[in-house]
Amino acid sequence: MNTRRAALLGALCIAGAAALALALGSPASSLVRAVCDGAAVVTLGLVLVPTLDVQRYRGELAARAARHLVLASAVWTVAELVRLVVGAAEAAGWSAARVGVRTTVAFATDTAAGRAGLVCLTAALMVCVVALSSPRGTRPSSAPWVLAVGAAAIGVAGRSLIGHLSESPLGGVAVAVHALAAAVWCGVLAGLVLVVTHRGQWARILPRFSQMSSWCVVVLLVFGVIGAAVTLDSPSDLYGTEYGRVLSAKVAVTVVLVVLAARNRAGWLPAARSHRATVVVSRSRSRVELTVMAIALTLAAALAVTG
Amino acid sequence: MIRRLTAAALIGAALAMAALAGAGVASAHAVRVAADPAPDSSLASGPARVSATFNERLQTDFAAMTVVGPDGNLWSTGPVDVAGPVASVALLPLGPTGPYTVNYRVTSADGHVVSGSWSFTLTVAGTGSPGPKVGKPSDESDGVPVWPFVALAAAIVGGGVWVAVRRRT
Repeated sequence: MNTRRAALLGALCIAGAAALALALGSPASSLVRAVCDGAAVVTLGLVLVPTLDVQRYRGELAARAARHLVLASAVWTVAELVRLVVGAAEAAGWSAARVGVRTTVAFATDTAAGRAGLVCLTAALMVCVVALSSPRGTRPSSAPWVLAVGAAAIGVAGRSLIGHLSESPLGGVAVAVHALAAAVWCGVLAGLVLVVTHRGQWARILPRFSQMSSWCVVVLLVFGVIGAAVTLDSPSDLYGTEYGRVLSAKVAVTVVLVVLAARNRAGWLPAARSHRATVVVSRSRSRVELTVMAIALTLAAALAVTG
Repeated sequence: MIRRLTAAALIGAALAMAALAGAGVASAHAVRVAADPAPDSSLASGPARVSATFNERLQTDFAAMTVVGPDGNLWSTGPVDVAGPVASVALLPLGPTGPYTVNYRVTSADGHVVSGSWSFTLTVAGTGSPGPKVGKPSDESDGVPVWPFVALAAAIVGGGVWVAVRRRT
């Protein structure tokens, strides 16, 4: 499976998940959100990927990630801009095609949602500028790398803080931490698929990724449950409301994802560690996991707008 | 391959089940919890203001509220007032008997748009004169369109990427 086919499959999965989210009752702007969140997650992952290799090879891995990072952060920046305009149109009741500069500026400066969008746009732009100005990649622990990691993390978690749960500080923090853990897990795996090519690299990196991702899953589940508990009034909301139904779908996808990850941990990880897994096997394993993650992320985007 | 198919089948089944469960009321966003006058109430004389109370604070910007009478005319007047979770608008002295419909569109504190309407009935004709006819959605434009600027920004970012990627290969 070449890169183009993989990208096509990924796009199809996101489109399919968006269509399902629409069927579950969330508005069309969730597609813009899905593209935006997906690009943000991949950006964060690409910045973090070099930390998984041993010190000696980090520079090489960062250089390999550099081109992908430029592309991902550029897509993220443009998507954030479009999202801001679509959000302004929605708030003002204009159609997205007719919305003007005045409304957009008023939305971006006067409303909490607009200001959060502005923060995320700035974060995305910052990562994009760092990526454009470091042609040899951002080496872990260098100043541009720290800047890029910080900005990407703010871009991923910032909106959650004012999302659904702006009225409840506990819920807001829980959802922000949940989003960050999910972004690190999915983003780094996406980064691995894009950047890692040799069997030897998989052997070095996969055990570290596995360790990191299990922590991510624990954090993700704990804070996800807290967030859901704060948002839902009763268990019957899980199927009785649109929000609850999208949430249930997300829970189901997460269960599939964790089962998949557990199986990979039992089979692929030992094989890769001892250099037995071919690159083809490693790639296809990671792509399957990534596909399910893309669906979960799209549903997460839908969750944030449903209602 | 089998694992992939199994995963796809599982997700498909879960989502289909969720989709088939039918539409309900969303609970996670702002909802209207009270209205004055009450929905479907009958009044002998028109109130000075109509108001809607929500379960969350509202943004003060981008709120809209209109009252349309049985004659298709606008009977609300002045700007929409937003105070905490309450949005309200002043009414003209009402005229003909019949149903008056209040339409609203507000933005909750978390940035979500909530819109809806409710009606009340006037049973004794008043002497007020209506505002303008409510016609087709207004053709007023929103000033300078924003999309050219978005396209320009996208072109600048795209150009930067193109240069960066070319430099590297």
